[in-house]
Amino acid sequence: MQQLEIRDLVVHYKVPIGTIKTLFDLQLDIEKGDSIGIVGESGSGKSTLGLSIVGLLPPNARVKGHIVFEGKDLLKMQPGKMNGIRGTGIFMIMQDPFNSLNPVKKIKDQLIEALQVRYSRNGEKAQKGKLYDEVLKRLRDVKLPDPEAIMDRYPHQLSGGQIQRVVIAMGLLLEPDILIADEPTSALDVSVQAQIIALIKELQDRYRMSLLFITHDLSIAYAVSEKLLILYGGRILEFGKTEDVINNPAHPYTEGLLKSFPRGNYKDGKLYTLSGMPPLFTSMPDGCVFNPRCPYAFDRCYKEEPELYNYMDKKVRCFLKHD
Amino acid sequence: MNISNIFKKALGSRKDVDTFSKKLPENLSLWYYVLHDVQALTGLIIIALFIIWSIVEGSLQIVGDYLRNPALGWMLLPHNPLAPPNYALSLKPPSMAFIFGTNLEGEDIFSRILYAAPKDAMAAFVVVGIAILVGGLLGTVAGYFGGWLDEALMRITDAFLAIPGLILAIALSILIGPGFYSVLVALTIVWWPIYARLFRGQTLTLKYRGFVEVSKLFGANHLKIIFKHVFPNAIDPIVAYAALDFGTVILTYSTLAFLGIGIQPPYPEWGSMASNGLSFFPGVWWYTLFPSVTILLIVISFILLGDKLQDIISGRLTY
Amino acid sequence: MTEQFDDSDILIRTSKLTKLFLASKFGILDRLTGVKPLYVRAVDGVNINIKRRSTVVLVGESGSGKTTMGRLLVTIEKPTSGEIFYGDLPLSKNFKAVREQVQIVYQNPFESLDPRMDISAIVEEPLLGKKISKEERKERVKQSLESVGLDYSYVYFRKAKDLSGGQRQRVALARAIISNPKFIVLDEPTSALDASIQSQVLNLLVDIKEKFGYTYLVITHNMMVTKYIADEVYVMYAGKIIETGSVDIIMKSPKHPYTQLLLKSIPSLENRKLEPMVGEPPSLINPPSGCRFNPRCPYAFDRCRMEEPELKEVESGHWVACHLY
Repeated sequence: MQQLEIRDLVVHYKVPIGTIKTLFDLQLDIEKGDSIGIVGESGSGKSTLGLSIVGLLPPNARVKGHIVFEGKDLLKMQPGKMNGIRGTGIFMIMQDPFNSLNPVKKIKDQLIEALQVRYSRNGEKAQKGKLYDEVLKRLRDVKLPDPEAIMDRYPHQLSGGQIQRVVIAMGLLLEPDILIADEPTSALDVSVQAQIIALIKELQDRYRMSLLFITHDLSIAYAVSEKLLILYGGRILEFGKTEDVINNPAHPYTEGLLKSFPRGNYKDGKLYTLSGMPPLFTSMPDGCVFNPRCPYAFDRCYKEEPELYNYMDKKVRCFLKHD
Repeated sequence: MNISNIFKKALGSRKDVDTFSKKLPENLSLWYYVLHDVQALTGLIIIALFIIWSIVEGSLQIVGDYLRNPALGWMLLPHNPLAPPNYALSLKPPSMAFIFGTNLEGEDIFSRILYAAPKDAMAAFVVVGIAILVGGLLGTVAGYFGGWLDEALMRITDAFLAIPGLILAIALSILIGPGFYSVLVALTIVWWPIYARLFRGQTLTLKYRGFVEVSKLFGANHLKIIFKHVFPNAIDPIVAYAALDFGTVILTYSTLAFLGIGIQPPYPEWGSMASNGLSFFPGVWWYTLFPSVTILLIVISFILLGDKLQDIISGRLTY
Repeated sequence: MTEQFDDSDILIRTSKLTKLFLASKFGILDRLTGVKPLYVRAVDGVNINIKRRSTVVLVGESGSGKTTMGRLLVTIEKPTSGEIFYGDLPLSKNFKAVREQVQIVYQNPFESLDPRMDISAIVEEPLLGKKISKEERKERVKQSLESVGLDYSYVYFRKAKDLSGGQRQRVALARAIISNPKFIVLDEPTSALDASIQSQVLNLLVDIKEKFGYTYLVITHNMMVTKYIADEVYVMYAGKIIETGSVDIIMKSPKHPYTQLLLKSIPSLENRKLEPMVGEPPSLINPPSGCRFNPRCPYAFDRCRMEEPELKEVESGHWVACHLY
């Protein structure tokens, strides 16, 4: 079942010197229970994509296109109504967990508040005691040690990993249909990162949420998601099943990226490298965005931009993969 | 060529229509942002006019004093701002001859405002300038070395900051004696501790930055590090603050004059003019209104510019 | 060549190196009232040996003390106790000479490059104190920038903010090598870089090391980087070295439970299934008694909670601090 449809999504930012386009005609369908890893380097537009779905883009952003959730176009919605969707419909876990919580309120109060939001939207009422029990249950779900004690603490008394778990628990309390996680582990320690990834995966499975996992790290996306979307210069370059993309990359960029990952020791030989660097939004190349770095680029790549073609079971933006 | 092709040509490719695809200038300076912002530009123009006028008028006054020919000081003004009282012209409303009207002594208010401008400009730049130098030096050194030096300096600034600046300035200028320069001294004494604090705060974060630590490895001595890396990097956010502060100094200087401290009659000063005119308000509205509006205009101009500078420097306006 | 770097095989050796930081401000009032100061035990009795022309990687999570260790070795921090030997001489005997032979490259090149200076001025800085003519300085800046793969005529007049992350990291490297150091500490050299740039920088690091004969200490939490660049690996946990050996040994047959779990919990392109370890790194103000890993260790037994394990050689060249061996 189609849960979220993104059609012709274009995002511009207005800056003092003009407009900068960061997403180019993006199309994406999210089915119920999907887990999609969105992978891109800095400046690929991956965070803009997440923020435009939850309607939290900065005020200088201009959005065009359609984001259809449960039959309603989120981009045409009144800002007040969008609040009704955010949280219980779509929930977003931010990169810096400390920003998602109110520093002067106890964990308990913030979580109960989130739960009340859900009840009031569904038109139900609940007693304080019942609310407390449900919050406690969710804190156990996210495997926080000693949840009773944590309920009475303030955000600054918790570690980064614990805070991220509290934020995830808050997401669970709201029972969203879609969970968007924007680099949720990049502020965390390596050993804690694995815990959070495993937790998000487990909970997504158990509660049948759809998951959009935004990351710069291909190996994290490989561990988390069933489908993989490669974003580069504001465009989708490749989209398909994760196993498929990782094991048989179709786009030269994905291929180069995977080849350049270090696997052995330096004594075994040099690493493969992609030459050059990712494009800036202020100076996009003509034709295919990847052409300055592509080892296979030919005349056509410099003249026109390839579309997102169907290739095997994937979608690929490359002329080589289109008759 | 058929019509659809002409249309296509006119619209360009899809990309050209939709994007800002031309390359942006790589190195956008501060000026670029300031000149492309209406508020900041307004502030900048007014401040520039104020400064240029102050320099011209100020030099004329100095040369006039030197040649014992004070009339040089008002050669560009429509009337003599220091004319002896002429009660026939007392309290005339604005007219073609006296565009801002006249005061009780029959002097032209417009001329007096223009005549007073150089002193205000000088007060602002001297006080803030010395405060940055003294405060900057002490604050940077204290922040960089820490220890008892830091402790001592911070307690001294605490003591200064504990007393409201205006009251301290009043007390000091009474102690030093009346006159323009004693007000400058008093204001500077009041002003430097704020800058010492600002510079110390900047230094505390800068001294742990990689480039400062690495410099030590190169064998650079402390003095070199302070002047090469710490001070220049600390000054950016402080410049924005200082731009706001020029207005505050002018306001404080005028407030002191309003209270009768500082420059003595018959020399005009915006604050004392506003104060003298107040007793005739609202009947003789122009007497107090025009000097007050002048103060307001200059202070707001500094705020408009300083605000923008702060936005740019703290990175809120970059992308 | 200065005397402390003689031809012995070991370039740098530390003996019971310890660094404590005050956990909170300890003022006059605290001293008078007799409050005991609280210390963070960032590095706690660490012995390491760094062979000439080898790359030693220090692996650990944040708060394991690995960054402090690097800063101690390049003399930015002073040890609280213990000694660092450069060649055969202790640091306290020839501080100045050592400082000329060590360099550090930080994780975030934006942090370590002065935003107000031109690239050429930044790279030139280490030469300023020395008696070198202006022309020679310029020539050496050019050489140095070119040996890290930057186009001198493109970068020399620019500021750090005009360069990309990878280019900035190259500038930081150019500055580090301009004064011909022997030993370079690289603190997370690639973790601030985009994936497609990381391999470029790793190749460069290996290239210049082989060309100029540097000795590296690389500080990282990235296992793939470790595997690629290391000769020897030291695993640090809560201020202690818990396991060390050649890169093959540590990557293929780790013995310490922490190292084993760490390797399993890191996402990689070869292994989709993550097996996260439990718990979080301990507080260094009040570390757990006995083995510092015992609260998270699946094999912990009574002795682990009481007695701190020593680093023992369990097989040739493979040292582990664990009561299981």
